[in-house]
Amino acid sequence: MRVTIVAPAENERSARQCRLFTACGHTCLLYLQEQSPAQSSAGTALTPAAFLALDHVQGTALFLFHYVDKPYALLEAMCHLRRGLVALDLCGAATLEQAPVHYADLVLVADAAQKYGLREATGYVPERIRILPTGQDYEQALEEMLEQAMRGISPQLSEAETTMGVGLSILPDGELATTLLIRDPALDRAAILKRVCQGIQDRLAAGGYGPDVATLGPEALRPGLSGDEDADQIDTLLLRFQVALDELAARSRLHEPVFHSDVPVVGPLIVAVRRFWNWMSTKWYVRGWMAQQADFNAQVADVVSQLLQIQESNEQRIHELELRLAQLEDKEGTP
Amino acid sequence: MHVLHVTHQYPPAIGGSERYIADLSEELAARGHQVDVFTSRSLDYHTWKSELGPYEHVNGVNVYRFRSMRRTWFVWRVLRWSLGHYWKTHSRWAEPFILFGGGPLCPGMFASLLSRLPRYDLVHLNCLVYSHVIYGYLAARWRNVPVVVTPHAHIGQEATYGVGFQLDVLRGSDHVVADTEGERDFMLRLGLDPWRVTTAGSGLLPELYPTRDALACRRRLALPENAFVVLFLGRQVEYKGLGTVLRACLALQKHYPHLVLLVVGPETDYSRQLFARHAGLPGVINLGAVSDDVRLDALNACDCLVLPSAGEAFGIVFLEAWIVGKPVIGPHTAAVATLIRNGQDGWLVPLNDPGAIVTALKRWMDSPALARQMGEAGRRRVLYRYTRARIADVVEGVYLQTLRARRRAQNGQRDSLCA
Repeated sequence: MRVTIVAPAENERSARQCRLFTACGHTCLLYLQEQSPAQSSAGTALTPAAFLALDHVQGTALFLFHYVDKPYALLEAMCHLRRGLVALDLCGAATLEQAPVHYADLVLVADAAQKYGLREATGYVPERIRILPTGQDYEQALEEMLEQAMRGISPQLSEAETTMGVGLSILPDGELATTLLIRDPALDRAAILKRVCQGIQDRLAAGGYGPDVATLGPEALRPGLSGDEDADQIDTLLLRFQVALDELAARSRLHEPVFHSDVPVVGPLIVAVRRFWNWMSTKWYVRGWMAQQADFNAQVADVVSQLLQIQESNEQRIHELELRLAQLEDKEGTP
Repeated sequence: MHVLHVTHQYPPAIGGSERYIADLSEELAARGHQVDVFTSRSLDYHTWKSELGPYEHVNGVNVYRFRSMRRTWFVWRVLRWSLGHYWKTHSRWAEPFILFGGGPLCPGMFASLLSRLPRYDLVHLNCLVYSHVIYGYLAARWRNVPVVVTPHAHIGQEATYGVGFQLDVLRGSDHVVADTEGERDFMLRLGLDPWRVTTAGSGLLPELYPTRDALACRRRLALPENAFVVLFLGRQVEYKGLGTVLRACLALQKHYPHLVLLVVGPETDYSRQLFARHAGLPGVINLGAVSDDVRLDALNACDCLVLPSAGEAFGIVFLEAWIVGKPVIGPHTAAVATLIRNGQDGWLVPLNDPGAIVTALKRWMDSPALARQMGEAGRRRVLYRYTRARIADVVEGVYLQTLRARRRAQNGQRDSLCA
C-alpha cells in the first residue's frame, strides 16, 4: 500500500511515522515543502497541482499531512484529494485558526486540551479527532486509529470523552458518589476521584464543612440586610410577578376570535355567513357564560393585585424595621 | 467537483433553508465547482404554485426549476389526516399520503434526476420535511450517486424528521449536515453513525453587514435617540414569540419608560389581532416587511435582538445581530441553546416566559457595558466561525470525505495497514 506524508519541514514525528509505515511493508514517501527542488523535475518548488499529478500520490491509500501553526503551499492539495484516507496531524501546532481540519477524514492531536480547543473553535466532528499518545504506545495507537478509519469504523467515544466537565456529589451517608465525568480520556478518572475523596475526608477530619462561625450571630438573624444582591433579586422577582399579573389582567377579558377567509371572491361571503351563524348561535347562549367567566377572571386578577399591594406594604414595613434594628444595634454598639 | 443541489425552493423564494442552499451553491461555484440546482418553480410552500421560469443562471449557479402539483385545500386535508393517522398508528400505509400532501411533487424533476444523475459526483438534498428529498434520494440510490442531506430538523416538531421515510433517508444517506450541535446530538440519538454527521450551520457575508452609525439609523427610522431599543426581527407569527416579547416590553415600560420595541418583519393575521388589542401604545413601533437596507438600519439602531421562537432550526437572525455587535435573547430550545452561549454572547430564556425576558433586558439596561461586551463576543464568533466561506469549507470538506469514503468502500478490504 502507498502512504504519503506531507510536512512543511523535516521533524522527528514525520520521520518516526515514515519508519513505522516502511517497517509495516508499505511504500512510504515523505514530501517536505522546504526540500521541494529535489522532488520536482523542473527543480522548482512543488506546487499543489504538480504534487497531485505525481504517480505515487495518485495511487496513495493514506495521506498524512502535518500542520505546524501556519499553512504552506502543499497543504492546499489536501482540499482536492478525492481518494484515499486523509489524516491531519496537528500534534505540533500551537494555533489552529488556519488549519484546514474540515477537509480531513481524521485529525490527530497531542492532548485533550488541544482536542477541546479544536472542537470549540471549529465545531469539527469530535469522533474524528483522536489523541495520539507520545510514549512507546505511539506507533501502535497510530496504526490502530488509521486502520479503523480506513475500514470506515467509527470509534465510539466513551462517556468520559463525550461529556463536559467534572461533577461530584457527596451522598448523605458520608460515602462519596462516583459521579465523575471527565472529557479527557488521557486523565485517570479513578486516580482523580481518589484524590478528591481523600481531600474531602481530610477536610472532614479537620472539622471542615461544619457551620461557619463567621456566619453566625446577628448577621445571620437579619437576612434582609444581607446586601444589594438580595435586594436586586427581590426587585427582579417582584418585576416578574408584576409581568405575570399584567398578563393575567390582560387575559381576564375574553375575546371572540375574528373569523377570516383567504378564499378569493367567495371569501367575504363565507365570512358573512359564518359571522351570522356565530351571532345566531352564541348571542343568547354562549355569551352569557362568557360574561360569567370574564367576571370571574377579572375578580381573580383583582384579588391577586391586592395581594401584591399587601406584599409591597409588607416589604416596606420590613425595610423600616431593618433600619430601626440597625439604628438600635448602632446605639448598643453591637457589630 | 460536479454537484447537484436538490431543494424545495430557491431564491427569490424567502426562507432560511432557501438562503442556506443559495449561499452554499454560489460560494462553491465561486470556488470553481460546477453546481446545478433542481428545484420547484414555487415562491410559496403553502400553495406550491408554479410562478418562476424553467431556467436561470444566478451567480455561477445553474438553477433548473420544475412544475409542481398545486397544494389545494384538498391536499392540505390529506396531509393533516395522514399525519394525524401516522402519529397515532405509525403505520407505513399513511406515508404515501404524507408524501403526497407535503410536496412539492415535480414529476419532471424526478425524470430529470433519473436521466442526468450519473453526470454528477454527488447529490446534496436540502430540507428533509418536503417530498423532493424522498424522490431525490430514491433517484440517487438507483443511479448509485453519493447523497448528502441537510435536514434542517426542528427538534420539537417531529413532522420535520420523524416520519418513516424521513428516517430512512437520514439513515441511508452517506453524510448528514446538521445546522447546530443540538441537532447533531439529536441525530446521533436517532442512531446515526457519528462519523457521518457534521455540524455546519449557516453563514453570512460580512461585507453585506457594515456597521452603521446608530444615531443616524435611529433618525432614519424615527426612533428616539436616547431610547433603549429592543428589536424583534422575523415573520410576525405566534411561534416566533412576538406576543411574549410584547408582554415583556409593556411590563418593563412601566419602570423604564425609555424602552422602545421595534418590530420588523412581514405581518400576519395573528400580529394584526395582537397589535389591535394593544392599539395606540407608545413605545411600540411596527415597521412590517422592509427592504434589506431598512433591515440593516434596524439592526444597527437597536440595543439588542429578542427572538424567543419555538421553531428555529438554526436562527440566522442571531448571526445578523451579532455581526453588527448587538447581543441577543433566544429560546432555550435544543437547537438555539447550542448556538447562543448563555451569558457570553446573549441570554437563553424559556419559551413563553416574558418574566425571563424582563430579567435579561433589565440586566442590559442596568449595565450597557455588559450588553456591548456580549455583542462584541458574538461578532467575534460570527467572523471566526459563521462566515459564508467558513460554512462552505465545512460542506466542501464533507463532500470530499463522502467521495473518499465511497471510494474506500468500493475498494473494500484491498487497502489495509495491517495487511
